This record gives sequence, structure tokens and C-alpha cells, in this order.
Amino acid sequence: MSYQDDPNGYVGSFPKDFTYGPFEQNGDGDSSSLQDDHKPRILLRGLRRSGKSSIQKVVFHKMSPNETWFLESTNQMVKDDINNSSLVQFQIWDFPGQIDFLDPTFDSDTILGGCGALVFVIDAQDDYQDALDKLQLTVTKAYRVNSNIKSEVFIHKVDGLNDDYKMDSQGDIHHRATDDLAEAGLHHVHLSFHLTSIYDHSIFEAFSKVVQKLIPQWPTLENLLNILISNSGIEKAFLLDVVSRIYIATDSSPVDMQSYELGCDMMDVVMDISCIYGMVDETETNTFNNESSSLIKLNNGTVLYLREVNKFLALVCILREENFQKQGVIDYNFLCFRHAITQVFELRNKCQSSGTDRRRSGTPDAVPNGAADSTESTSDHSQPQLA
Amino acid sequence: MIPSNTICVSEEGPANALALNKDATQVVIAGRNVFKVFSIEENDFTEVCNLRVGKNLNLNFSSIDVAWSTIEENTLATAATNGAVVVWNLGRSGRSKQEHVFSDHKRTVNKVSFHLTEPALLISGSQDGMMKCFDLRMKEVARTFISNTESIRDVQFSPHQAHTFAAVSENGNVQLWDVRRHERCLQQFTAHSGPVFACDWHSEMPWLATASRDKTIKVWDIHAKPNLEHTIYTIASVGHVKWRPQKKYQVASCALVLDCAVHVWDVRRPHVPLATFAEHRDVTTAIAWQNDPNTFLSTSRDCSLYRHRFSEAAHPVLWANPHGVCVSARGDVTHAAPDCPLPALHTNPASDRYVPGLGRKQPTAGSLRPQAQAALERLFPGGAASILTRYSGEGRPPCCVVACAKEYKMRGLPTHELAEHNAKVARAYNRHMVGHVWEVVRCVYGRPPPREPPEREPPPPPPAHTNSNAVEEEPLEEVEQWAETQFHNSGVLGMPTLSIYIPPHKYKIRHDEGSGWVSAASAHYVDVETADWTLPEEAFPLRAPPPAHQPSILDTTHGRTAAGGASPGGSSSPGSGSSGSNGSACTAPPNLEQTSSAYPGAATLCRAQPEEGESGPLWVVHEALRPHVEPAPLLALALRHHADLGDVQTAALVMIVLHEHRSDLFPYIDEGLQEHWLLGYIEFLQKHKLWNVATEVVRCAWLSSVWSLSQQSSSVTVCCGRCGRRARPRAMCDRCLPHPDLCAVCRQVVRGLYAWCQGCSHGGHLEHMRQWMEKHQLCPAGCGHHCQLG
Repeated sequence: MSYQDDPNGYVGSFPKDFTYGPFEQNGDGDSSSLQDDHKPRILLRGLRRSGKSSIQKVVFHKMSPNETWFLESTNQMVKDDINNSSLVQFQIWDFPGQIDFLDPTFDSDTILGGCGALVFVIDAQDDYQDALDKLQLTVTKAYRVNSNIKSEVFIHKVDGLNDDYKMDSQGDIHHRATDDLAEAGLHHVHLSFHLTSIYDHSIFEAFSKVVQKLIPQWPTLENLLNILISNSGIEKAFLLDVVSRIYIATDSSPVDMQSYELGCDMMDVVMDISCIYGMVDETETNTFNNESSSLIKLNNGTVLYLREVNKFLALVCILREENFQKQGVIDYNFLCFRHAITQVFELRNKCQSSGTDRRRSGTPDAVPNGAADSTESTSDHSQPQLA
Repeated sequence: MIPSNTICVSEEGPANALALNKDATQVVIAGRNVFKVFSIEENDFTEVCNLRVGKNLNLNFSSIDVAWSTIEENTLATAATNGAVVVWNLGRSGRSKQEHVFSDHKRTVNKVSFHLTEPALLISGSQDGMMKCFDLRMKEVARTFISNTESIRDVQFSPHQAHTFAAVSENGNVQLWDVRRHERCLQQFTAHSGPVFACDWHSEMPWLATASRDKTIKVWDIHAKPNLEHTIYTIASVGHVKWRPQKKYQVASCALVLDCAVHVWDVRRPHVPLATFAEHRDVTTAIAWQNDPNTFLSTSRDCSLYRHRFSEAAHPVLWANPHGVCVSARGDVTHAAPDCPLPALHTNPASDRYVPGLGRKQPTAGSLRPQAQAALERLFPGGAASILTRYSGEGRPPCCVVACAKEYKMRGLPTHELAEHNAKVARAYNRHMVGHVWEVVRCVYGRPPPREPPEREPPPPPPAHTNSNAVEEEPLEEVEQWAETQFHNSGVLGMPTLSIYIPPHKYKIRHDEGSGWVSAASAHYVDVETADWTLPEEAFPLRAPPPAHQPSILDTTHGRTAAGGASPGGSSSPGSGSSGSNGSACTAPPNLEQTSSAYPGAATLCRAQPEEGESGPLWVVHEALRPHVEPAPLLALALRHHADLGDVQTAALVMIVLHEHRSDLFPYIDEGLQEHWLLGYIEFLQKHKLWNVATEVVRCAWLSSVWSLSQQSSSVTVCCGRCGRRARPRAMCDRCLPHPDLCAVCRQVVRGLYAWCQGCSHGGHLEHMRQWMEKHQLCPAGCGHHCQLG
């Protein structure tokens, strides 16, 4: 195989141990280990210099966007394993732009077979005609190998464009890409388009949406969050991945960019403080644990409340100060919520260990409802106290 | 304090949605903890019924949206966070009015809406990207529409085509569906660059208004191909839009965050809302017009329900200043003012009713009396009725600069000829100071080649000259001082002013000669009004004293007095540019002490004059004097001075015209500054659309950073001759690929040489094209282009 793992690929303010762990060594890509690996995979594709590695570094390695200027062109495939979280398990595979899927040495069945999502990055500041051709080839090929693959298109580097041009190019790319696919006979393949930039939170939001589609429990999580916020008087709640700060789930009310940015920033503050001051003894570097929580009151009457769900997930709630009078009730509701989440993932683990196909099973729907009921009943007690 | 006409009810919790019944006499509000029906009285809301009753208050009661059937008086539908769509029948006996629960959606339902004519059809849009059409008679899902997008935020039936509905989704797309066909949508287009949160059909026009997180409201004409008609820019994500009934161009909106007010916009005036209702203290969650254009209801997160009357609206246009002024690049001033004055703004005693909104944005408003408001509405929907006035200043200096820029020459001739030409041009436009600079350049660098420019040769300085050369270096610090004082005092460059400049060395010379300096000065005092601004060359010898120990001084001073008397304008014209400096010159004692040290100070003080002076004697009196003074630093100072005064043109052009002498100046002007001047001049030229001149300057430039400009930003794109679409370089248009290029004359496929016009990209056989172009001027393809071949 022509690609290998790149072991020296992270930058950031976290201590060395606090990443997603070492990159997985799959040897020389023997297919058995790939097949056994149940983690959904996200492939990053695109032309050269379209920003794939920058996206990966900024989102998953906390690199500052300005530092991405100095990234070298990737010439080997980089696998990044986001697997330590009990909840979200996936890998990011960053491909060099010049790798050709049609190259016979490229083992597309192995790579695309277990792939959950294909992210195709288009540089919006460049002439995108070539990128569209490549997109069509890539999607066609990927679909032929794996018909369950989800194709996402990131129209990237839109920070340099004005609004009108942004709209025009989005419309144009959308139109031409779907036309191209239709010409290739893939009417039913659906492409999702996201306008992204590493200089704001749009890349995090886009990645959140990609990841959410790969989590079978996502609708359940959303329902749980809905229940939590309606019973606790919370305006908006995000379930954030601690390291990457993408949101795994949020409630069903519209996501406002400012709220999400607030949540991310709060996450940063808490992480940095607990890394600096939270060290109990020398051996323990990960100080973010079940006990972690944080409360920030803003001067416009808004309260930000962060609670740790597990080592890799945190819940950030945004609520009005007057709804925060009875913090105990909210804490109680949160415990119910955490319990429900644990149940959901216990089920998942059970399914996985019994060897059933975890990703396509219909069961997660059933038990979460049970979990939801339990939250509901507990929060029903709390309602009179709140009202 | 609540204004008499606006009524408010506090609720148990915030409502997410509200709906009015068919004749707008009752309103239902629904939220997480509230679900009530009120009847709308004249000044009050009366609770008719509370639907949130029963022992088992489950999640079906926590509603995101509510709809009231447009036909059936008693039928309501709500959308719940757990995905349930609940139908309510108000006519049911008993406490619970719940009729049926559809739990087909697995995720939150964001929107329900009834068909406008079929009472049994209800449609819902859900977070999972699906829409379901329910049949209330059969109590089951009639059809499921899979949008293949993200969450559906709003669904609305079209009032124009009974079976069409619009759905907007979080990925910025709008889809139009036929309710009878669930396979695929009729149309789909990308409307916004962020999630779309709401849409609303216009009641008369085939228009759809969409509201998005990208802070805009867009109005689309959906008649054939979706076409963007209007865009309204707001300050925050827009949560809801509703067209104002009976008003073609007006739409109400409320924000999702940040802005608590409800705004009514005129789509043709997209920047300032027509009316604003700022009663709410938290963001508004829903709005509904009460079947008439003057009242609407709104609910907010602050747990209130308001009825707004249009007569109480605040009008932000009245706070805005309706006058605009702008200055163009050419110095024209434009002033826009309304045709007739706006109705006077009167302070409204009710304006203190606003409670500070917990740090959220809240406009404070003045309201209008009905007649004033009527006047306002007459005025503004009529579009922008205003006067546009254009003032032109007279004698604007930039015009001369522009004119000079057109006529100046910068290459093709020896330096002194160019300088002479440019001096004439400058004088023709009354820019005497600039003219002088050019004259100096001509004199200093204008020696014919056989006489090798003496300042270039490193002269073995004669003993008499060593002294003057030595002191020349020294007072350069002083030079700055002088330049500075002068800078403060001087008027507009090249504009005649009423004070006269007398170089300080004059006094000294006079002093040395034993004659009173006052008399000398008086000899030079002239009436500027009567000055005829001619004979400028005679001024050079007058004010140019050579080093004091030269015997020619006497001649010079004599000549100067004579010339000053004979044609006073001659001496005053250069002096006038540096007005007001004589005072500082008089009070500078060091200059009066020693001739040699005073001289360079004076030289810079009067910018160009010292060089003139120093060249003047050479020219008029004695040529052998030239090598005494090195002109380069002085010229450099003069150029710097001009640049400081904002005349970058002179600085840049002199540098260009100097050609081979340019390097003399380099020690005195660093490269950054040179580049700055050149780029500044090029920018100025481009601003005045003098592209040719600008290109010329770029071409003449000696700095690589400047001349490489001509190699940037020129790109050639290739268009397909048939469809006009941009094609890839070196490739056929992918749309027209199957069709080979035909000859425009004979309509045959061209094999071999293909000649085409680069303007319109039509062409054909070389021979045919040549024959055609001999007889015709227009393109053979009939596109109307004046083709040129070859």
C-alpha cells in the first residue's frame, strides 16, 4: 500500500495525552482489520490545496486557523481515530488530493466499504470546474462500492467571498453537481452542501451535521435533549464533544450561531482552566471528569451552564437567569438525562457485543423511548417546583 | 404602562406559536407549558378554554406549533417536540378536547398547517426532513414526502394553486411540492446561505417570502423559474415572516435572537423598516395578522400576548436623517434631500412605556398621530421621492491635476525636453510651483550630452568651493525645520496667495552689502492682484544668490532689483506658493550670521527656488558656477515636499522623467517612498479613469514591484461561442461538445484553419472570413459585433 499512518500530526494547547489517543495502526491495510472495525469512517476528499488537512487540524486538533498556512501538502493518507468516546466512534481519513480512486493500486473496496460519509471539499475561491468533475467521479465510484455512503460537499474557504457571490456559487455548484450526478444515472444519490470556513464556526457546524448522520442514536439524543430543556426552562442545549467541540446533538429549536459559539468558547475556558489548575497528582493528566461543571453568568441575564456527561461529552445549556433560580432541579433533571444517555449506549454496546449489526438496527429507537419515559416521569415531579 | 389599544395577557409560560380562527375572533396560543384559547375583545383577551388539562399531561402537550383550520371552526392541530401531531376538536364535550394523535414522526415536528380549501388535509414538517400529509377523515397518513434535505422548518400551502405547498429546510433550500405526488418535488432551489426558518406566500402575487439565519428576508417570484425579487437585510436571524394583508409590498418579520421587536418592511425599501413594534421584552416567537392590515397579534418568550395596532407603530424612518451628502473623486458634491419635508416628529408621552429589555436590543420609538402616519404612508410606499442636487466647485485643483496628467509626457524625449514640455503644461494650468520644479529639472539635467553634466562628474573641487560644499551637507537638519515651518504656513499648492516670500539669504546679502533689507524687501513687494504671472524665468536669477563670496553677486542683486521693479510678478509668482514663510525667515537668526550656512537652509525653505537660483546664475550669468551645488538632495527635498503637500503627481513624474539621472536621487529618497509615490499616482490615475496614463506610468516605472503590476490581474477567459458559457481553457464547452464548430459564412464544419473574432468568438474558414470582412463590417453570424480579423 502506498499510504501509511502519519504519527506526528497534532498541534494544540492540550497536553499530549488529551487527544483521541494514538493513531490506529492498521498495519499495511489488511482488509480483515478494516472489516472488523465497526467505527464509521469519514473520508475527506478534494482537489489538492482545497483545505482538507486544514479542516482536519482545525476541527480535531485545535490548531489555530492561522497556523494552517504553514501546513505542508499531504502526500500520505492520514487516519485519525476519534474512538475514545463511548458515544461517538469514527475515523477521519485525510486523503492527499492527488490520490486517484481509479488507480488500480487503490483498494477502494476496502476503504470505501466501511465508510460512513464522504466529505468532498471544494475550494470556493478557486475555479471549481475541475473539482466538480472530480466530485462526480468520486461520488459515482463510492456509491458503486458502498450504496449507504453519505456524500457531503463542503464549499470551503467562503470567508473570502461576499454574500452575493457565496449564494451564487452555492447555487451554481449545487445545480451543476446534481446535474452531473443525474447524467451519470445517480438521480437518487443525495448530496448535502455546506458553506464552510475555518475562520469561523461554520466548519464545526458542518462537521457536526456530518457526524450526527453517522450516529444512529442521534434522533434519540435529540429527543432526550428536548425533554430536558422543556422541563428545565433551558433555552438551548448542546451536547458537545469535548476535544473537537463539534456538537453531537442539540435540541430541535433552531441553532443560532452565536449560541453555539458561546458554547464552544465556554468549553475552551473550562478545558483550559481544568488542564492548568485541576491536576490532582502528576499521573493524572485528564482532569476533565464526571465532577466537572461550570457556571458563567453573562451581563445580559443569560446563564451558561456546563455539565460533564462523560469523559468525552459535555452538556452546555443556555438559559435565562430567572429560570436558574432552582439549580437543584436542573441538576436533578441533568442526572436523569445522563442516566438515560448511559442506558442508550449500554444498549448499543450490548448489541455490538452480541454481534448484531449495530448501525442498521431498529432497536435503538425502542429503548430510548423507554429512557425518555423515565426522564419524563422524573421531570414531572420537578415541574411543580419549577412552575 | 400598556397603551390603551394594545392588550396583553400574562401566561403560565412562553408560547411558541399562535393561530387565529377563520374570522379572527379567537386566538390560540401554544407552548411547552401553555395551550389556551382566548377570544379577542375590544380591549381585552378573555380565556375561552384551557386545553392543557387532564391527568396525563405528557409530551404531546408541549407544542412547537399550532394551526387552526381555515374552514372548520373547531379543529385545531398542534405539533409536539416528541414528533406527535395532535388534532383537537373544540366542540367535544368533556374536558379533554383531544381528538386524535398521529405519532408517525419520530422526531420533533416543527410545523403544521392546514390545507386552505380541503378541511381534511393537514400537513406537517419534521426535523427528520420528512413531511407528512394527514387525512383527518381516515385518521392516517395519506402521503409522506421525503425532502432529502435537513430539518424542515416551515410548510405552507400556496393560496394560488390548491395543491402546491412550499417547504423550507435547514440547509437553505426551498422546495415546492405537489400534494398529490410524493415521489419528487416540483422545484427546488437554494434560497439562502444559512438555514431557512420560515416562509410565507403572498396573497395576490406568486411571491414567496423566506426568512433565514443569514439575516435576510428574500422575496421570490415563483411564477416560472424562481427569481429573486427583493432582499431585506435585517440585524439578526429572522424567525418568522408574514405578509401584511391588502398591502402588496409589505411584510412583517420578527427575529429569532437579539431583536425583540416586530418590524414591518416595505420590500422596495429594504434597509429601514416601515414600522416597528417594540412592546415585547424578549424575542417574539410568533406573529399573525388579524385579517386586516392594521392589527396583528404576537407572542413572545416574555410570556405575553399583544395585539398591536398599526396606529401605534414606531417609524424608524423618522429617526433617520433623510439627507445624504457624498463627495465624488472629482470633487463634486452630491446632496440628496426628500421632496417634501416629513411630518414633524412629536414626542409621544407613551414612549416611556418601554421597560428595559434585560439587555436585549430595543429601539425607543416615537409614535405618530393618525394623520401624520397617513402622510407617511402616502410618502413612502411611493418609492424614493427625493431631489438629487449636484454641486460643482469652481477652480478645483484636482481638475488641473487631472488635466496635467493627461498632457504630461514622460518618455520618448531627452529629460530636458520632457521637463520643458511638462513645465509649459503646468503653467498652462496655473500651477506655477509645479512649473518651477519642472524648469529646475530642465535646467539642472538639461545639459546637452557633449557637455557632460557637471554634477555627475566627481569634480576635483576648486579650493574656493570646498567650503561651500562642506557646509552644504551640514545644515540638512535645519532643512527639515524649515520645511516644517513652511509646511504649516503655506497655503494650497500653486494657488496665489497674498503674502510674498522673501528668501532669508536676501536680507543677508543686503546686509553684507550694507543696504537695508527692508528696502530690498519692499522692492519685491508686489500687488498679487495685478501680477501677470509671466516671465517666470527672470525670477530665477533674482532670488538665486550664489555663494556669497562669488563676485557675480553684485550682478545678480542688481539684476534682481531691476527685474523686481520692472516686472514684479516675476518674482512673486514662485514666492506666492510658499506663502507666509517670510516671517519665519526673518526670525531665524542663524541664517543671518553666515552666508554659507544660511544658503542651504533657505534653499529648502523655498522648495524649488534654490535650485532655480543655483541654476539661474549658471544659465544667465555664468555657467561655470554649476558644480558648486549638488542638486540631487535639493531636488529630492523639493519632491518630498510636493508629495507631503499631497501632490504625488509631481514627485512621481519628475522621478520618471529623470531617466538616467534618477539614480542621483536614490540616496535621498528610499525605495519604499518611491514605490509609495508611484503607486499613489497610479491609484490616482485609475480613480480618474485615466487608464492609459496609468499604464504608461507602470511601464515607465523602474521599481520591479511597480512594473510587475502590468503582469497581474490580467486574465483571459474563454467562452463558448455558441452558448456563451465560460469554458475550460483548452477544452471544448462541455454543453456544446457534440456540435462541432461551423463556419459562420458557409455553415459547414471547418476542417483546417479556423479564424475567429476574439470579440464575439464567431468565426469560420479563414478564406470565408477574409472575404466577408472585405465587404462587411458586422459579424457574419449576425450577432451585431463589429468584428476585426487579424
